[in-house]
Amino acid sequence: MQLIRKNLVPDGPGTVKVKPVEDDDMWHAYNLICTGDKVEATTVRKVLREMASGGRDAERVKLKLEVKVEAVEYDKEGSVLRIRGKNLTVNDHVKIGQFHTLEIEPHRPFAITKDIWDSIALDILHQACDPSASADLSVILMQEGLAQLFLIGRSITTARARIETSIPRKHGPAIAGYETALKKFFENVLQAWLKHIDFSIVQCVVIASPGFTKDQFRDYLFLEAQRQDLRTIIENKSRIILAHATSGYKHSLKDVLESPNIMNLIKDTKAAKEVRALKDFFTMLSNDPSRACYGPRHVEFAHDRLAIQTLLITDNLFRNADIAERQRYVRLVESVKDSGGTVHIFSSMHASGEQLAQLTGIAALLRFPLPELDDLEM
Amino acid sequence: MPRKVGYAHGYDDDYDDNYDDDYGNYDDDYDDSEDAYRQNHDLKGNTSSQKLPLARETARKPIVWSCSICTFDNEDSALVCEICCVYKESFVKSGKEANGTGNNIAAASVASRTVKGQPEKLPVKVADKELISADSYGKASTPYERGKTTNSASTAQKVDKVVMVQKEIKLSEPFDTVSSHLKKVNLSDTSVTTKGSSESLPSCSRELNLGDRPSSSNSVSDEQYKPDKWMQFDEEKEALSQLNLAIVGHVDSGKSTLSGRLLHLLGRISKRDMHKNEKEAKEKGKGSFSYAWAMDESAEERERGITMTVAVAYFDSNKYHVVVLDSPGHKDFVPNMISGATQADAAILVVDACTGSFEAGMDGQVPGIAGVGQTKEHAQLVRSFGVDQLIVAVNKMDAVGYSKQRYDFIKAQLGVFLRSCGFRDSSVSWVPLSAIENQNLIEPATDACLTSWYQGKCLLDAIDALQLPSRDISKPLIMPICDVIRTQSMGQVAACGKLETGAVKTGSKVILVPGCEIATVRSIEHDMNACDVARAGDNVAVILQGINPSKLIPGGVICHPEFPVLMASRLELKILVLDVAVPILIGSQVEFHIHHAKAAARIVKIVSLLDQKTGKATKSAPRFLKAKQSAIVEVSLDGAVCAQEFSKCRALGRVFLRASGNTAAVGVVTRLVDPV
Repeated sequence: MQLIRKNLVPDGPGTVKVKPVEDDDMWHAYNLICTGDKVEATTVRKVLREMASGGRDAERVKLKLEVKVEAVEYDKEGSVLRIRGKNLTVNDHVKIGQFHTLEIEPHRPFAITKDIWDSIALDILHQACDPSASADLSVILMQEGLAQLFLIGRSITTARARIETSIPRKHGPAIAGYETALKKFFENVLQAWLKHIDFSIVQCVVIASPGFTKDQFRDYLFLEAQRQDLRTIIENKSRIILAHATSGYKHSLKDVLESPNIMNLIKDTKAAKEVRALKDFFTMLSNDPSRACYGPRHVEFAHDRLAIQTLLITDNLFRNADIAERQRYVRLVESVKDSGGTVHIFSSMHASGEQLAQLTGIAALLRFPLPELDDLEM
Repeated sequence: MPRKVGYAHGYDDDYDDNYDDDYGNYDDDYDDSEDAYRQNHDLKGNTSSQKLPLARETARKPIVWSCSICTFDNEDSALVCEICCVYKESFVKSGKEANGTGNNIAAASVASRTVKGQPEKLPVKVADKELISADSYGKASTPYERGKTTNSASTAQKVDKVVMVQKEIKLSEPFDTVSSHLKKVNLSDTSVTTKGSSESLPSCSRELNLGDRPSSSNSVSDEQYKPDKWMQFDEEKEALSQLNLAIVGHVDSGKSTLSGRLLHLLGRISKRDMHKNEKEAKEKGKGSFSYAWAMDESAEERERGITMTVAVAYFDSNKYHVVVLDSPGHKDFVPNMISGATQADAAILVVDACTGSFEAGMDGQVPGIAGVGQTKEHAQLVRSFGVDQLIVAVNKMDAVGYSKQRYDFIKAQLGVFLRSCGFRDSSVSWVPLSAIENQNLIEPATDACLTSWYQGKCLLDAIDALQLPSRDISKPLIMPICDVIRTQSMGQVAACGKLETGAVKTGSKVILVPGCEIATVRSIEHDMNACDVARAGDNVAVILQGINPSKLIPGGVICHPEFPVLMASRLELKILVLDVAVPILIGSQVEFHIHHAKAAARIVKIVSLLDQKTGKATKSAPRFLKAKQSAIVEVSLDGAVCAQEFSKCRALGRVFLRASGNTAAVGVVTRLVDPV
């Protein structure tokens, strides 16, 4: 994201003008814009005009409109943000108070005006405008009969393809059926690979699976690359890595990112930090369960006793439509920071964030044991 | 009678309760057990005889009692809740009522209990041996004979005879010899019982031979189902019944080699094939793999020398058509093992006797780091498949010089663990053998070192000694699809699997779930041979007609057209958490396995924590579940799977949850939250 203009008071009102560049930026913008904010952007609107003859004439006009946000929608596939709200700008075509939906795409600048720029919003803005290299990584997660292709960016993980085939088990002479089914399956995965993986964007490709499916696929891949003369694969052989996964389902992505050789590749990225933080949480939970807790009720209970060392929270809790609710979480994050704790805000678009979201979205590692937690119902 | 082992209450559910208790008593002190056995049945006959006037009108309606803990409606005959194993509350009361009516049997049981001062323990243990008189039996069972001869009445009568016979011969033999007595008595005693409807006798005696397990509760909807004549077991035609035998164990313990060797010795592998395997194995420098290659046919498996998917093979023992399910032992292929071997009736657990290998199988691959080896994991899984009979084959005895010391060490170590899994000592048999040197496989060992201390059964005899579990032919057809085979040239599609309940014959209509498509059975194959009828327990390939082949997928279920099973994507389970490092939280993501289907799932709710012994809820909505706890949880799945309450159909009600490459929990389905 490029910062074009910034005019704001921390914890006070202000306006920021930014230009999203990558797909990731749309996600940040989505997290930045809340209901009640004002957003100004160039947009196109279909205007109806009554002709003198009584007929109607539709015309598309390009306008610059400012709306008061009522709803924000994020389209993961198309990487588009749709902001619905009431018009605030005086002009010939759209009345004040009339509804309009702004569509924000990459490379279209827009301005956000907020009444209060809280610390979370400033954090997001700071993060979004940080030009450090993004960890564009592609993971093919497979097991016999199921393969999924993911692109992992700085703050979002997108599932690009899913291939599912039924592969028969071996049964005497039917063994040939097994081999052909497997070959067909690999062929489909290769097609998805060619369609979605662009080595100019992706740093490296990880093939992960339980058992030997990954090795089988790699062998197949190199063989096919030779045969069909697929230059991109032959030239980038060194950027293809194998990793062990415990299953082919999406939640195993976490295990893949945790493995040491992959961790090295994505060391300083947000994704890696999130994976580590979540791992710490689970380790603590298994070693000393009274020093870890999750769920809003338990976390607040621990916070009241100033016990929180590390707070893990997903960004979708801040996207809450209820402003009071958002404020509550913002205050929680700020006061944890003030009392010397660390806070990890997880992107709910990553596998680790998704998992945290399912664990109610909030969890904490504690400074000292709180055995009372066991008596508190979830 | 308190359970001796701490393994959860619920996972013994598949023993029928009467059976269960008798067995338990038997372990304790043998003298009492016969009385317990007799008493148990007598009580049953007694309570039902009181209900007789009613029973005629309500013959079709199931009489149920609601469990005080889980509110599950149990069949009246069950003393213990099928879901949570809590004793019927009114059971003690019913004993007292019986006392009032002048029948002294129940009174005796109550009295004996009070003498022992354990009123809450299982009330079937009776000290007084003389109380049961023949005429009390007469009272109890004659109305039944006049009406329709129900199972329990005739069983009771026979048991009575057995008891009398056994009193004469001063019994003190193990239980299986008792059952052989039962058989003898059945033969001698047909003349006595001919008052009852004689056609029903074969089926009764059959059930008796199976260790006396009355058929489990019929669901209400299944009540109106009446099996056709052809479905009944025909003893003349089929001399041997099928036994599904899973071969499990840690990686490289020699499962495939053992199965391959067995097949070879029993003449199921032609000389030519064997020669070919030997030659190819030698060429690859893997001479010792030649037998395993009979099972591992895919190039990948041979290349790496490990089994990856479950192989199916067939051989005949003296008593059974054995279906061998050779499972993979490698950690990564446990999902394949689960989906391939859930159909097992009994299992052979192969352990490697070599120093270090056995330990790796128990405690995981990496020495020093506590983990769970596949010997343990498989044993736990097999137990939760509902398998209660296990043969432990201590393989590679040649490598340790047939040392008795090593064998005893393994037996002691593993025995403790198996007991904690819920296997009874009496149903686990131990066989030291060497697959590669052909010691103790189909005939007794010849090696002097081994024969000097082992004179027990060889493996094949141990297989013959297994008891066949009860088969539910009287229920509507259910056959989970394990595998689908397409024959391109013929355009045929065949579904392989084991019939769990009911029966199917050529030409019958079946419904396929999911999809609810009606198909016709074109033919049925068992081990490449066509057969006309397949009944519960048979492992067959069913070739279907009139169906879209793409709809036929492993994990689906073939059902009776009027009784399709339900699909659900949200289920309530009762689970037992195994040894997991990471506790199970709300929102934990797991892989969910049920019969042959699998799906990604997450825990959405932990309803309550259960007490291990009583099965009562001790705490509602706990924070998390730790190892060895049991609980009621709700899971939501990625996609709907065919499932049924465990009480209705056991095979479709057993679930396995896996997380990060380990089996995290095993359990049963207690409720479908949103059945489709």
